[in-house]
Amino acid sequence: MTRPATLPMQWSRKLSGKWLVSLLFLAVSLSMLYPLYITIVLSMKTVPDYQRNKVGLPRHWTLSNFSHAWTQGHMGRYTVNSVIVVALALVILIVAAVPAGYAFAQFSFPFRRTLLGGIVAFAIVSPGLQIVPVFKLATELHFINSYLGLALIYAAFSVPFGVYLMSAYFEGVPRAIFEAGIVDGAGVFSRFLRLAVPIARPGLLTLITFAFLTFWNEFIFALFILLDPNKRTLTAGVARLHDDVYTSQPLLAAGLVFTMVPCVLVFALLQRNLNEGLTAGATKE
Amino acid sequence: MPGRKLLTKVGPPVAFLLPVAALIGVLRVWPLEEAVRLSFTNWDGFSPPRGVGFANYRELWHDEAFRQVLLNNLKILAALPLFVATPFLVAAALQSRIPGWSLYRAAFFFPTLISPAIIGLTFNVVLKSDGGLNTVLHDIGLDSLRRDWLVDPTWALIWVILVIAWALIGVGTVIFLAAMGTVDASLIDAAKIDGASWWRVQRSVVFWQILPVIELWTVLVLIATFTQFFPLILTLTNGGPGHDSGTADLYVYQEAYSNFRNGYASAASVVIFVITVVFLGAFMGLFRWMRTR
Repeated sequence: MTRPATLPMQWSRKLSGKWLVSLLFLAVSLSMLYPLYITIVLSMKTVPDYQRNKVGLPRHWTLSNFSHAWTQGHMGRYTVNSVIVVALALVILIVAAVPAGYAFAQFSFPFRRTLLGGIVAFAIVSPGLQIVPVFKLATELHFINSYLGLALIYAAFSVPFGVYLMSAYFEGVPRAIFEAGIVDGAGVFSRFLRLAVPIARPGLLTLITFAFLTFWNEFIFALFILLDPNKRTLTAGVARLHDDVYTSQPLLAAGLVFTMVPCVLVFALLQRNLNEGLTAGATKE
Repeated sequence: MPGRKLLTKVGPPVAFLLPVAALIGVLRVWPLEEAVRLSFTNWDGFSPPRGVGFANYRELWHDEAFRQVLLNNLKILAALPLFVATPFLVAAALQSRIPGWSLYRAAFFFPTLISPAIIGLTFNVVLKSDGGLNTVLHDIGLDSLRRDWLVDPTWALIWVILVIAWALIGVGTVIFLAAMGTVDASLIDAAKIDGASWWRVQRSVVFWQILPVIELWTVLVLIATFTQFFPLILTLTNGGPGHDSGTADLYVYQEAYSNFRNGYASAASVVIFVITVVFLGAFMGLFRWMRTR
Protein backbone atom coordinates (compact mmCIF):
# COMPACT_ATOMS: atom_id res chain seq x y z
CA MET A 1 0.00 0.00 0.00
CA THR A 2 1.37 3.40 -0.97
CA ARG A 3 1.26 6.10 1.60
CA PRO A 4 -0.21 9.40 0.45
CA ALA A 5 2.50 11.85 -0.43
CA THR A 6 0.86 14.68 1.47
CA LEU A 7 1.37 12.97 4.81
CA PRO A 8 3.58 15.67 6.39
CA MET A 9 1.00 18.33 5.53
CA GLN A 10 -1.85 16.24 6.93
CA TRP A 11 0.22 15.78 10.04
CA SER A 12 0.70 19.45 10.66
CA ARG A 13 -2.99 20.06 9.99
CA LYS A 14 -3.95 17.37 12.45
CA LEU A 15 -1.59 18.82 15.05
CA SER A 16 -2.95 22.33 14.78
CA GLY A 17 -6.47 20.87 14.87
CA LYS A 18 -5.65 19.20 18.16
CA TRP A 19 -4.39 22.46 19.59
CA LEU A 20 -7.57 24.23 18.47
CA VAL A 21 -9.74 21.60 20.17
CA SER A 22 -7.52 21.85 23.22
CA LEU A 23 -8.09 25.60 23.33
CA LEU A 24 -11.85 25.04 23.15
CA PHE A 25 -11.58 22.52 25.98
CA LEU A 26 -9.61 25.00 28.01
CA ALA A 27 -12.49 27.46 27.75
CA VAL A 28 -15.10 24.84 28.65
CA SER A 29 -12.96 23.52 31.53
CA LEU A 30 -12.76 27.01 32.97
CA SER A 31 -16.56 27.16 32.92
CA MET A 32 -16.60 23.79 34.69
CA LEU A 33 -14.30 25.05 37.41
CA TYR A 34 -15.91 28.49 37.65
CA PRO A 35 -18.24 27.51 40.55
CA LEU A 36 -15.24 26.15 42.47
CA TYR A 37 -13.24 29.30 41.79
CA ILE A 38 -16.04 31.64 42.80
CA THR A 39 -16.75 29.67 46.00
CA ILE A 40 -13.12 29.53 47.14
CA VAL A 41 -12.47 33.21 46.35
CA LEU A 42 -15.70 34.21 48.08
CA SER A 43 -14.86 32.16 51.17
CA MET A 44 -11.64 34.14 51.64
CA LYS A 45 -13.17 37.61 51.36
CA THR A 46 -14.17 39.87 54.23
CA VAL A 47 -17.80 41.04 54.20
CA PRO A 48 -17.03 44.71 53.34
CA ASP A 49 -14.67 43.53 50.63
CA TYR A 50 -17.46 41.34 49.19
CA GLN A 51 -19.92 44.22 49.21
CA ARG A 52 -17.49 46.42 47.30
CA ASN A 53 -16.50 43.86 44.66
CA LYS A 54 -18.57 40.71 44.32
CA VAL A 55 -16.67 38.80 41.64
CA GLY A 56 -13.00 39.87 41.70
CA LEU A 57 -10.14 38.65 43.86
CA PRO A 58 -10.18 39.64 47.55
CA ARG A 59 -8.24 42.73 48.58
CA HIS A 60 -7.30 41.06 51.86
CA TRP A 61 -7.24 37.27 51.90
CA THR A 62 -8.73 35.97 55.13
CA LEU A 63 -9.37 32.59 56.72
CA SER A 64 -11.71 34.02 59.37
CA ASN A 65 -14.81 32.80 57.50
CA PHE A 66 -13.65 29.24 57.96
CA SER A 67 -13.10 29.62 61.69
CA HIS A 68 -16.47 31.38 62.00
CA ALA A 69 -18.23 28.64 60.06
CA TRP A 70 -16.49 26.03 62.19
CA THR A 71 -17.44 27.60 65.54
CA GLN A 72 -20.59 29.72 65.04
CA GLY A 73 -21.90 27.63 62.13
CA HIS A 74 -21.23 24.42 64.12
CA MET A 75 -19.59 22.87 61.04
CA GLY A 76 -17.40 20.72 63.28
CA ARG A 77 -20.34 18.98 64.91
CA TYR A 78 -22.22 18.71 61.62
CA THR A 79 -19.22 17.03 60.02
CA VAL A 80 -19.22 14.37 62.75
CA ASN A 81 -22.98 13.86 62.25
CA SER A 82 -22.52 13.51 58.49
CA VAL A 83 -19.73 10.99 58.92
CA ILE A 84 -21.92 8.87 61.24
CA VAL A 85 -24.93 8.90 58.88
CA VAL A 86 -22.90 8.28 55.71
CA ALA A 87 -20.88 5.45 57.30
CA LEU A 88 -24.03 3.72 58.58
CA ALA A 89 -25.77 4.15 55.22
CA LEU A 90 -22.78 2.74 53.33
CA VAL A 91 -22.63 -0.35 55.58
CA ILE A 92 -26.37 -0.99 55.19
CA LEU A 93 -26.17 -0.45 51.42
CA ILE A 94 -23.27 -2.89 51.05
CA VAL A 95 -24.87 -5.56 53.26
CA ALA A 96 -28.05 -5.33 51.15
CA ALA A 97 -26.69 -4.83 47.63
CA VAL A 98 -23.64 -7.13 47.42
CA PRO A 99 -25.22 -10.47 48.47
CA ALA A 100 -28.31 -9.64 46.40
CA GLY A 101 -26.23 -8.86 43.31
CA TYR A 102 -24.37 -12.14 43.80
CA ALA A 103 -27.59 -14.12 44.21
CA PHE A 104 -29.14 -12.67 41.06
CA ALA A 105 -26.02 -13.35 39.00
CA GLN A 106 -24.93 -16.77 40.28
CA PHE A 107 -28.00 -18.62 41.59
CA SER A 108 -30.97 -19.84 39.65
CA PHE A 109 -34.26 -19.67 41.52
CA PRO A 110 -37.92 -19.04 40.68
CA PHE A 111 -38.94 -15.45 39.74
CA ARG A 112 -35.26 -14.40 39.48
CA ARG A 113 -35.71 -12.00 36.55
CA THR A 114 -39.01 -10.62 37.87
CA LEU A 115 -37.51 -9.90 41.29
CA LEU A 116 -34.43 -8.26 39.82
CA GLY A 117 -36.58 -6.13 37.50
CA GLY A 118 -38.85 -5.18 40.38
CA ILE A 119 -35.95 -4.01 42.55
CA VAL A 120 -34.11 -2.16 39.78
CA ALA A 121 -37.33 -0.42 38.67
CA PHE A 122 -37.28 1.49 41.97
CA ALA A 123 -34.08 3.18 40.78
CA ILE A 124 -36.26 5.34 38.57
CA VAL A 125 -38.71 6.35 41.32
CA SER A 126 -37.60 9.75 42.59
CA PRO A 127 -37.10 10.50 46.30
CA GLY A 128 -39.20 13.63 45.73
CA LEU A 129 -42.04 11.39 44.57
CA GLN A 130 -41.99 9.24 47.72
CA ILE A 131 -41.09 11.80 50.37
CA VAL A 132 -44.66 12.23 51.71
CA PRO A 133 -45.33 8.59 52.65
CA VAL A 134 -41.68 7.97 53.63
CA PHE A 135 -41.79 10.87 56.06
CA LYS A 136 -45.12 9.61 57.46
CA LEU A 137 -43.75 6.09 57.96
CA ALA A 138 -40.49 7.48 59.38
CA THR A 139 -42.56 9.21 62.07
CA GLU A 140 -44.42 6.00 62.88
CA LEU A 141 -41.20 3.94 62.93
CA HIS A 142 -39.46 6.45 65.28
CA PHE A 143 -36.88 7.39 62.64
CA ILE A 144 -37.14 11.08 63.56
CA ASN A 145 -33.85 12.36 65.01
CA SER A 146 -32.28 8.93 64.49
CA TYR A 147 -29.03 8.63 62.53
CA LEU A 148 -29.85 4.99 61.83
CA GLY A 149 -33.29 5.94 60.53
CA LEU A 150 -31.87 8.44 58.04
CA ALA A 151 -29.15 5.96 57.04
CA LEU A 152 -31.79 3.28 56.34
CA ILE A 153 -33.72 5.70 54.12
CA TYR A 154 -30.54 6.65 52.21
CA ALA A 155 -29.67 2.98 51.69
CA ALA A 156 -33.22 2.17 50.55
CA PHE A 157 -33.04 4.84 47.85
CA SER A 158 -29.62 3.76 46.56
CA VAL A 159 -29.98 0.00 46.83
CA PRO A 160 -31.78 -0.52 43.48
CA PHE A 161 -28.83 0.99 41.60
CA GLY A 162 -26.46 -0.95 43.90
CA VAL A 163 -28.13 -4.29 43.13
CA TYR A 164 -28.07 -3.49 39.40
CA LEU A 165 -24.36 -2.60 39.47
CA MET A 166 -23.32 -5.59 41.57
CA SER A 167 -25.38 -8.15 39.64
CA ALA A 168 -23.92 -6.80 36.38
CA TYR A 169 -20.47 -7.10 37.91
CA PHE A 170 -20.95 -10.65 39.21
CA GLU A 171 -22.45 -11.74 35.88
CA GLY A 172 -19.13 -10.88 34.29
CA VAL A 173 -17.36 -13.38 36.55
CA PRO A 174 -17.28 -16.89 35.04
CA ARG A 175 -19.24 -19.39 37.13
CA ALA A 176 -16.31 -21.82 36.83
CA ILE A 177 -14.35 -19.70 39.30
CA PHE A 178 -17.02 -20.22 41.92
CA GLU A 179 -17.54 -23.87 41.00
CA ALA A 180 -13.86 -24.42 41.74
CA GLY A 181 -14.78 -23.38 45.28
CA ILE A 182 -17.39 -26.15 45.46
CA VAL A 183 -14.70 -28.70 44.61
CA ASP A 184 -12.62 -27.33 47.45
CA GLY A 185 -15.58 -28.09 49.70
CA ALA A 186 -16.29 -24.46 50.55
CA GLY A 187 -19.90 -23.76 51.57
CA VAL A 188 -22.18 -21.22 49.88
CA PHE A 189 -21.40 -18.46 52.36
CA SER A 190 -17.63 -18.93 52.57
CA ARG A 191 -17.53 -19.04 48.74
CA PHE A 192 -19.30 -15.72 48.72
CA LEU A 193 -17.11 -14.08 51.36
CA ARG A 194 -13.73 -15.52 50.35
CA LEU A 195 -14.10 -15.71 46.54
CA ALA A 196 -16.83 -13.39 45.36
CA VAL A 197 -16.30 -10.32 47.52
CA PRO A 198 -12.57 -9.95 46.74
CA ILE A 199 -13.26 -10.41 43.02
CA ALA A 200 -15.97 -7.74 43.15
CA ARG A 201 -13.67 -5.13 44.71
CA PRO A 202 -13.60 -2.70 41.73
CA GLY A 203 -17.39 -2.83 41.37
CA LEU A 204 -17.81 -2.40 45.11
CA LEU A 205 -15.50 0.64 45.21
CA THR A 206 -17.42 2.21 42.31
CA LEU A 207 -20.66 1.73 44.22
CA ILE A 208 -19.09 3.21 47.36
CA THR A 209 -17.80 6.27 45.47
CA PHE A 210 -21.17 7.14 43.96
CA ALA A 211 -23.13 6.29 47.10
CA PHE A 212 -20.78 8.43 49.17
CA LEU A 213 -21.30 11.43 46.89
CA THR A 214 -25.08 10.93 46.94
CA PHE A 215 -25.35 10.47 50.72
CA TRP A 216 -22.92 13.26 51.58
CA ASN A 217 -24.67 15.77 49.32
CA GLU A 218 -28.28 14.85 50.23
CA PHE A 219 -30.09 17.38 52.38
CA ILE A 220 -33.86 17.16 51.87
CA PHE A 221 -34.40 13.90 53.79
CA ALA A 222 -31.74 15.10 56.25
CA LEU A 223 -33.74 18.25 56.99
CA PHE A 224 -36.97 16.26 57.38
CA ILE A 225 -35.61 13.46 59.56
CA LEU A 226 -32.93 15.05 61.77
CA LEU A 227 -34.98 17.89 63.26
CA ASP A 228 -32.76 18.36 66.32
CA PRO A 229 -30.31 21.19 65.37
CA ASN A 230 -27.50 19.32 67.15
CA LYS A 231 -27.98 16.33 64.85
CA ARG A 232 -27.91 18.18 61.51
CA THR A 233 -25.71 16.81 58.75
CA LEU A 234 -23.15 19.10 57.14
CA THR A 235 -25.07 19.63 53.89
CA ALA A 236 -28.32 20.24 55.80
CA GLY A 237 -26.45 22.66 58.06
CA VAL A 238 -25.16 24.60 55.06
CA ALA A 239 -28.66 24.60 53.54
CA ARG A 240 -30.00 26.09 56.79
CA LEU A 241 -27.13 28.60 56.74
CA HIS A 242 -28.28 29.58 53.25
CA ASP A 243 -31.88 30.12 54.42
CA ASP A 244 -30.73 32.27 57.35
CA VAL A 245 -30.95 35.95 56.32
CA TYR A 246 -28.14 36.90 58.72
CA THR A 247 -25.63 34.65 56.97
CA SER A 248 -23.06 36.58 54.95
CA GLN A 249 -22.22 35.21 51.51
CA PRO A 250 -18.53 34.66 52.40
CA LEU A 251 -19.55 32.62 55.46
CA LEU A 252 -21.89 30.49 53.32
CA ALA A 253 -19.07 29.95 50.81
CA ALA A 254 -16.78 28.78 53.63
CA GLY A 255 -19.47 26.27 54.65
CA LEU A 256 -19.69 25.05 51.05
CA VAL A 257 -15.92 24.53 50.92
CA PHE A 258 -16.24 22.33 54.03
CA THR A 259 -18.81 20.14 52.25
CA MET A 260 -16.65 19.85 49.11
CA VAL A 261 -13.35 18.80 50.68
CA PRO A 262 -14.35 15.20 51.61
CA CYS A 263 -15.88 14.66 48.15
CA VAL A 264 -12.66 15.68 46.43
CA LEU A 265 -10.66 13.43 48.79
CA VAL A 266 -12.89 10.39 48.26
CA PHE A 267 -12.80 10.88 44.51
CA ALA A 268 -9.01 11.25 44.51
CA LEU A 269 -8.69 8.04 46.54
CA LEU A 270 -11.12 5.91 44.55
CA GLN A 271 -10.99 7.29 41.00
CA ARG A 272 -8.60 4.62 39.69
CA ASN A 273 -11.27 1.99 40.33
CA LEU A 274 -14.07 3.90 38.63
CA ASN A 275 -13.16 2.86 35.09
CA GLU A 276 -12.99 -0.83 35.76
CA GLY A 277 -16.03 -0.95 38.02
CA LEU A 278 -18.39 1.06 35.85
CA THR A 279 -17.83 -0.63 32.54
CA ALA A 280 -17.63 -4.20 33.86
CA GLY A 281 -21.34 -4.79 33.39
CA ALA A 282 -21.35 -3.51 29.85
CA THR A 283 -18.12 -4.69 28.20
CA LYS A 284 -18.67 -8.40 28.72
CA GLU A 285 -20.45 -8.81 25.37
CA MET B 1 -36.19 -36.01 51.31
CA PRO B 2 -37.73 -33.55 48.82
CA GLY B 3 -38.27 -30.91 51.51
CA ARG B 4 -34.59 -30.81 52.31
CA LYS B 5 -33.65 -30.65 48.64
CA LEU B 6 -35.95 -27.66 48.19
CA LEU B 7 -34.31 -25.98 51.18
CA THR B 8 -30.78 -26.31 49.77
CA LYS B 9 -32.01 -24.95 46.44
CA VAL B 10 -34.08 -22.01 47.69
CA GLY B 11 -32.34 -21.43 51.03
CA PRO B 12 -29.20 -19.58 49.85
CA PRO B 13 -30.99 -17.12 47.51
CA VAL B 14 -33.52 -16.35 50.24
CA ALA B 15 -30.74 -15.69 52.76
CA PHE B 16 -28.81 -13.52 50.28
CA LEU B 17 -31.91 -11.51 49.34
CA LEU B 18 -33.25 -11.02 52.86
CA PRO B 19 -31.54 -7.66 53.60
CA VAL B 20 -32.51 -6.06 50.30
CA ALA B 21 -36.06 -7.41 50.55
CA ALA B 22 -36.46 -5.93 54.04
CA LEU B 23 -35.04 -2.56 52.98
CA ILE B 24 -37.09 -2.24 49.78
CA GLY B 25 -40.19 -3.76 51.33
CA VAL B 26 -40.34 -1.39 54.29
CA LEU B 27 -38.99 1.84 52.78
CA ARG B 28 -40.02 1.67 49.10
CA VAL B 29 -43.02 -0.67 48.68
CA TRP B 30 -44.82 0.16 51.92
CA PRO B 31 -44.64 3.94 51.17
CA LEU B 32 -46.17 3.15 47.79
CA GLU B 33 -49.11 1.42 49.46
CA GLU B 34 -49.32 4.34 51.92
CA ALA B 35 -49.36 6.81 49.00
CA VAL B 36 -52.28 4.97 47.39
CA ARG B 37 -54.19 5.08 50.68
CA LEU B 38 -53.44 8.79 51.25
CA SER B 39 -54.39 9.64 47.67
CA PHE B 40 -58.05 9.07 48.61
CA THR B 41 -57.84 11.56 51.51
CA ASN B 42 -57.48 15.29 52.03
CA TRP B 43 -54.52 14.91 54.43
CA ASP B 44 -52.67 18.18 55.12
CA GLY B 45 -49.74 16.56 56.93
CA PHE B 46 -50.93 17.45 60.44
CA SER B 47 -54.57 16.74 61.18
CA PRO B 48 -56.05 13.23 60.77
CA PRO B 49 -56.74 12.39 57.10
CA ARG B 50 -60.37 12.31 55.94
CA GLY B 51 -61.54 10.23 52.97
CA VAL B 52 -62.57 12.13 49.84
CA GLY B 53 -63.04 9.27 47.37
CA PHE B 54 -61.73 9.94 43.88
CA ALA B 55 -61.86 13.74 44.25
CA ASN B 56 -58.04 14.12 44.07
CA TYR B 57 -57.84 12.07 40.86
CA ARG B 58 -60.70 14.01 39.30
CA GLU B 59 -58.93 17.27 40.15
CA LEU B 60 -55.65 15.96 38.71
CA TRP B 61 -57.35 15.17 35.43
CA HIS B 62 -58.23 18.86 35.00
CA ASP B 63 -55.01 20.23 36.59
CA GLU B 64 -53.21 22.35 33.96
CA ALA B 65 -50.08 22.61 36.12
CA PHE B 66 -49.85 18.83 36.45
CA ARG B 67 -50.09 18.46 32.68
CA GLN B 68 -47.40 21.13 32.32
CA VAL B 69 -44.88 19.39 34.61
CA LEU B 70 -45.45 16.01 32.93
CA LEU B 71 -44.78 17.71 29.60
CA ASN B 72 -41.60 19.25 31.06
CA ASN B 73 -40.40 15.78 32.07
CA LEU B 74 -40.94 14.68 28.47
CA LYS B 75 -39.03 17.70 27.15
CA ILE B 76 -36.08 16.96 29.45
CA LEU B 77 -36.23 13.37 28.26
CA ALA B 78 -36.17 14.57 24.65
CA ALA B 79 -32.76 16.08 25.43
CA LEU B 80 -31.41 12.55 26.05
CA PRO B 81 -29.37 12.61 22.79
CA LEU B 82 -27.64 15.76 24.08
CA PHE B 83 -26.86 14.08 27.42
CA VAL B 84 -25.34 11.10 25.58
CA ALA B 85 -23.61 12.87 22.67
CA THR B 86 -21.74 15.51 24.68
CA PRO B 87 -19.77 13.11 26.89
CA PHE B 88 -19.14 10.88 23.85
CA LEU B 89 -17.60 13.75 21.89
CA VAL B 90 -15.60 14.95 24.89
CA ALA B 91 -14.29 11.44 25.55
CA ALA B 92 -13.43 10.96 21.86
CA ALA B 93 -11.41 14.19 21.88
CA LEU B 94 -9.63 13.27 25.12
CA GLN B 95 -8.95 9.77 23.82
CA SER B 96 -7.18 11.38 20.83
CA ARG B 97 -4.85 12.81 23.47
CA ILE B 98 -5.34 16.50 22.77
CA PRO B 99 -2.76 18.55 24.72
CA GLY B 100 -3.70 18.74 28.40
CA TRP B 101 -6.25 15.92 28.19
CA SER B 102 -5.77 14.56 31.72
CA LEU B 103 -6.27 18.01 33.23
CA TYR B 104 -9.46 18.44 31.21
CA ARG B 105 -10.69 15.04 32.37
CA ALA B 106 -10.36 16.16 35.99
CA ALA B 107 -12.00 19.53 35.29
CA PHE B 108 -14.97 17.92 33.54
CA PHE B 109 -15.47 15.48 36.40
CA PHE B 110 -15.64 18.24 38.98
CA PRO B 111 -19.44 18.91 38.78
CA THR B 112 -20.03 15.28 39.80
CA LEU B 113 -18.46 16.01 43.17
CA ILE B 114 -20.80 18.82 44.16
CA SER B 115 -24.36 18.53 45.35
CA PRO B 116 -27.03 19.05 42.65
CA ALA B 117 -28.63 21.59 45.00
CA ILE B 118 -25.40 23.61 45.04
CA ILE B 119 -25.06 23.38 41.25
CA GLY B 120 -28.55 24.83 40.97
CA LEU B 121 -27.71 27.56 43.46
CA THR B 122 -24.52 28.53 41.62
CA PHE B 123 -26.22 28.77 38.24
CA ASN B 124 -29.06 30.71 39.82
CA VAL B 125 -26.48 33.34 40.82
CA VAL B 126 -24.99 33.32 37.30
CA LEU B 127 -28.34 33.50 35.46
CA LYS B 128 -30.49 35.86 37.49
CA SER B 129 -31.25 39.23 35.93
CA ASP B 130 -28.26 41.05 37.50
CA GLY B 131 -26.12 37.88 37.49
CA GLY B 132 -22.81 36.95 35.92
CA LEU B 133 -24.01 36.11 32.41
CA ASN B 134 -25.90 39.35 31.87
CA THR B 135 -22.98 41.33 33.32
CA VAL B 136 -20.60 39.69 30.85
CA LEU B 137 -23.00 40.26 27.93
CA HIS B 138 -23.21 43.93 28.91
CA ASP B 139 -19.44 44.25 29.24
CA ILE B 140 -18.78 42.89 25.75
CA GLY B 141 -21.47 45.10 24.26
CA LEU B 142 -24.07 42.45 23.50
CA ASP B 143 -26.89 44.04 25.47
CA SER B 144 -29.41 42.92 22.88
CA LEU B 145 -28.78 39.29 23.92
CA ARG B 146 -29.52 39.94 27.58
CA ARG B 147 -32.59 38.18 28.94
CA ASP B 148 -34.16 37.62 32.29
CA TRP B 149 -33.10 34.00 31.78
CA LEU B 150 -34.90 32.37 34.71
CA VAL B 151 -38.12 34.39 34.32
CA ASP B 152 -38.52 33.74 30.60
CA PRO B 153 -40.69 30.56 30.38
CA THR B 154 -38.82 29.08 27.38
CA TRP B 155 -35.32 29.92 28.57
CA ALA B 156 -35.93 28.69 32.13
CA LEU B 157 -36.51 25.13 30.89
CA ILE B 158 -33.68 25.37 28.35
CA TRP B 159 -31.31 26.37 31.15
CA VAL B 160 -32.54 23.51 33.30
CA ILE B 161 -31.66 21.13 30.46
CA LEU B 162 -28.28 22.78 29.81
CA VAL B 163 -27.30 22.74 33.48
CA ILE B 164 -28.28 19.05 33.73
CA ALA B 165 -26.10 18.36 30.66
CA TRP B 166 -23.29 20.30 32.37
CA ALA B 167 -23.70 18.22 35.53
CA LEU B 168 -23.70 14.93 33.58
CA ILE B 169 -20.65 15.43 31.33
CA GLY B 170 -18.06 14.26 33.88
CA VAL B 171 -19.30 10.77 34.71
CA GLY B 172 -20.25 10.12 31.10
CA THR B 173 -16.81 11.14 29.90
CA VAL B 174 -15.07 8.87 32.44
CA ILE B 175 -17.26 5.91 31.45
CA PHE B 176 -16.81 6.47 27.70
CA LEU B 177 -13.06 6.99 28.09
CA ALA B 178 -12.74 3.68 29.93
CA ALA B 179 -14.71 1.95 27.16
CA MET B 180 -12.72 3.62 24.37
CA GLY B 181 -9.54 2.38 26.02
CA THR B 182 -10.69 -1.19 25.35
CA VAL B 183 -11.33 -0.67 21.61
CA ASP B 184 -8.93 -2.73 19.49
CA ALA B 185 -6.31 -0.27 18.18
CA SER B 186 -5.80 -2.27 14.98
CA LEU B 187 -9.40 -1.56 13.94
CA ILE B 188 -8.76 2.18 14.21
CA ASP B 189 -5.41 1.90 12.40
CA ALA B 190 -7.06 -0.04 9.58
CA ALA B 191 -9.70 2.66 9.17
CA LYS B 192 -7.03 5.36 9.18
CA ILE B 193 -5.01 3.59 6.49
CA ASP B 194 -8.18 3.45 4.40
CA GLY B 195 -8.18 7.24 4.64
CA ALA B 196 -11.02 7.64 7.15
CA SER B 197 -11.19 11.04 8.79
CA TRP B 198 -11.12 11.42 12.58
CA TRP B 199 -14.85 11.96 12.65
CA ARG B 200 -15.46 8.95 10.41
CA VAL B 201 -13.38 6.75 12.73
CA GLN B 202 -15.45 7.83 15.74
CA ARG B 203 -18.74 7.35 13.93
CA SER B 204 -18.08 4.09 12.12
CA VAL B 205 -15.65 2.26 14.41
CA VAL B 206 -15.57 3.58 17.98
CA PHE B 207 -19.33 4.14 18.26
CA TRP B 208 -20.19 0.57 17.30
CA GLN B 209 -17.38 -0.92 19.38
CA ILE B 210 -18.60 0.72 22.59
CA LEU B 211 -22.35 0.47 21.87
CA PRO B 212 -23.08 -1.62 25.02
CA VAL B 213 -21.50 1.11 27.15
CA ILE B 214 -23.52 3.79 25.34
CA GLU B 215 -26.60 1.75 26.17
CA LEU B 216 -25.55 1.55 29.84
CA TRP B 217 -24.99 5.30 29.97
CA THR B 218 -28.39 5.95 28.39
CA VAL B 219 -30.04 3.92 31.14
CA LEU B 220 -28.02 5.72 33.83
CA VAL B 221 -28.97 9.12 32.38
CA LEU B 222 -32.58 8.07 32.19
CA ILE B 223 -32.52 7.18 35.90
CA ALA B 224 -30.68 10.40 36.73
CA THR B 225 -33.07 12.69 34.84
CA PHE B 226 -36.00 11.07 36.64
CA THR B 227 -34.51 11.11 40.14
CA GLN B 228 -31.29 13.09 40.65
CA PHE B 229 -32.11 16.60 39.60
CA PHE B 230 -35.10 17.54 41.69
CA PRO B 231 -32.88 19.47 44.19
CA LEU B 232 -31.06 21.13 41.27
CA ILE B 233 -34.30 22.45 39.77
CA LEU B 234 -35.52 23.41 43.24
CA THR B 235 -32.57 25.75 43.75
CA LEU B 236 -32.14 26.84 40.10
CA THR B 237 -35.67 27.94 39.16
CA ASN B 238 -37.92 26.42 41.84
CA GLY B 239 -39.91 25.16 38.86
CA GLY B 240 -40.77 28.67 37.76
CA PRO B 241 -41.93 30.82 36.21
CA GLY B 242 -45.24 29.24 37.23
CA HIS B 243 -44.67 25.57 36.48
CA ASP B 244 -42.80 26.13 33.23
CA SER B 245 -39.50 24.54 34.30
CA GLY B 246 -40.67 22.20 37.07
CA THR B 247 -40.69 18.40 36.93
CA ALA B 248 -43.29 15.97 38.20
CA ASP B 249 -41.45 15.06 41.41
CA LEU B 250 -40.85 18.74 42.24
CA TYR B 251 -44.60 19.35 41.76
CA VAL B 252 -45.41 16.58 44.25
CA TYR B 253 -42.95 18.11 46.72
CA GLN B 254 -44.37 21.61 46.30
CA GLU B 255 -47.99 20.48 46.64
CA ALA B 256 -47.11 18.59 49.82
CA TYR B 257 -44.85 21.07 51.57
CA SER B 258 -45.66 24.50 50.11
CA ASN B 259 -49.43 24.01 49.83
CA PHE B 260 -49.82 21.33 52.55
CA ARG B 261 -51.89 19.16 50.23
CA ASN B 262 -50.37 15.77 51.08
CA GLY B 263 -53.43 13.87 49.91
CA TYR B 264 -53.43 15.57 46.52
CA ALA B 265 -49.64 15.19 46.26
CA SER B 266 -50.03 11.46 46.96
CA ALA B 267 -52.57 11.09 44.16
CA ALA B 268 -50.16 12.89 41.81
CA SER B 269 -47.31 10.60 42.91
CA VAL B 270 -49.41 7.48 42.26
CA VAL B 271 -50.27 8.66 38.73
CA ILE B 272 -46.62 9.54 38.02
CA PHE B 273 -45.54 6.14 39.35
CA VAL B 274 -47.90 4.33 36.99
CA ILE B 275 -46.71 6.44 34.03
CA THR B 276 -43.06 5.77 34.96
CA VAL B 277 -43.56 2.01 35.15
CA VAL B 278 -45.35 1.92 31.78
CA PHE B 279 -42.65 4.11 30.27
CA LEU B 280 -39.81 2.01 31.71
CA GLY B 281 -41.43 -1.16 30.39
CA ALA B 282 -41.72 0.34 26.91
CA PHE B 283 -38.10 1.52 27.02
CA MET B 284 -36.78 -1.88 28.10
CA GLY B 285 -38.87 -3.52 25.38
CA LEU B 286 -37.36 -1.15 22.83
CA PHE B 287 -33.82 -2.05 23.94
CA ARG B 288 -34.58 -5.77 23.70
CA TRP B 289 -36.08 -5.28 20.24
CA MET B 290 -33.01 -3.34 19.09
CA ARG B 291 -30.72 -6.06 20.37
CA THR B 292 -32.51 -8.90 18.58
CA ARG B 293 -32.29 -7.05 15.27
